[in-house]
Amino acid sequence: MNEVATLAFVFASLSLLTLGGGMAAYPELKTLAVDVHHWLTLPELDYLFSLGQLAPGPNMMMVVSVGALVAGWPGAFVVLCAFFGPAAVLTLIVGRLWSRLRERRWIVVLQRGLAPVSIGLLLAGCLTFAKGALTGGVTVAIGTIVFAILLRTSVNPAFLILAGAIVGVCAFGTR
Amino acid sequence: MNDKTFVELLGISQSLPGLKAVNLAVLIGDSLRGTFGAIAALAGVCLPGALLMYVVGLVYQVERERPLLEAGLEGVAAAAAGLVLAMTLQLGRQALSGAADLIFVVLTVICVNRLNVPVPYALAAIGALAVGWYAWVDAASTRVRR
Repeated sequence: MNEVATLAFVFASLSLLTLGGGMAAYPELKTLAVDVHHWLTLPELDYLFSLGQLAPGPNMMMVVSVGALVAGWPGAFVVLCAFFGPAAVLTLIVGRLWSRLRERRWIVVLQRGLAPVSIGLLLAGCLTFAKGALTGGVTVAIGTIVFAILLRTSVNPAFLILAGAIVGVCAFGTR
Repeated sequence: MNDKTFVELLGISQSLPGLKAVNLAVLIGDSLRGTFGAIAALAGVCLPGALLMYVVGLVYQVERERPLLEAGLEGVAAAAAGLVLAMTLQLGRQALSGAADLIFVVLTVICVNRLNVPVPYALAAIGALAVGWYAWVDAASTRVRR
């Protein structure tokens, strides 16, 4: 199949999996982009996701980079529409029905039940990500320190990401 | 738009699939200017980052073999791993309560990471289990109140 069509199909199928946040779709993104289609490796996917944390706007914008890698600007454009479109349309529809839905018993139960599952999916995404990013002593140390700093302070994460780049260059640059 | 509407829209955007910031933009755009407002808000929140990440993708394709770049990115990804874990932990603290919630979280992680169950199946199966559980809790509490 044509690469652009494949991209559209893959990212449209990921769109509605982002329950609770973009990270919830990460395990499936890894399966499809790395294992099934071999567009890039897991560390490469992690690198692009991490760079995406420095970009303005939603934190999964790296999907556009994947599209660009695979099929240039048509790929990037198709991925943008396929990944963000379906969830946006669903939000628009539910938002308009919300005044009628919110009092319903089943909506409250549905929200309550999906809350822990969405946190579980986010955590699963984090662990998938960590498998490609935390590969040795130095990277585990960087990750742990950033984790601890963010839980204790309200420092802008972008600074920590940039600090990670400097540590990475110092530690691995001479390989 | 007043505070109450904003908080309500924030609540909807969190409980639906999609990224929170994007959903919120769509809902605000829709409530201010209808469908056209929603499309404009969606474009506004996505396009700057999308353009930047498009360029990042192109540059990365050409430069991915450069050892110094890879060294820096390895550090960046390690830092990002700490970041996403911290964000998830903070979300979990707000959203979870009780042992049942923890069990559903652990079940989801085991299914996806250990058993390699595809996310849609894990979501459907454990989602049904968790929603069923809270429906039962809800029904039981109604019975007690009567």
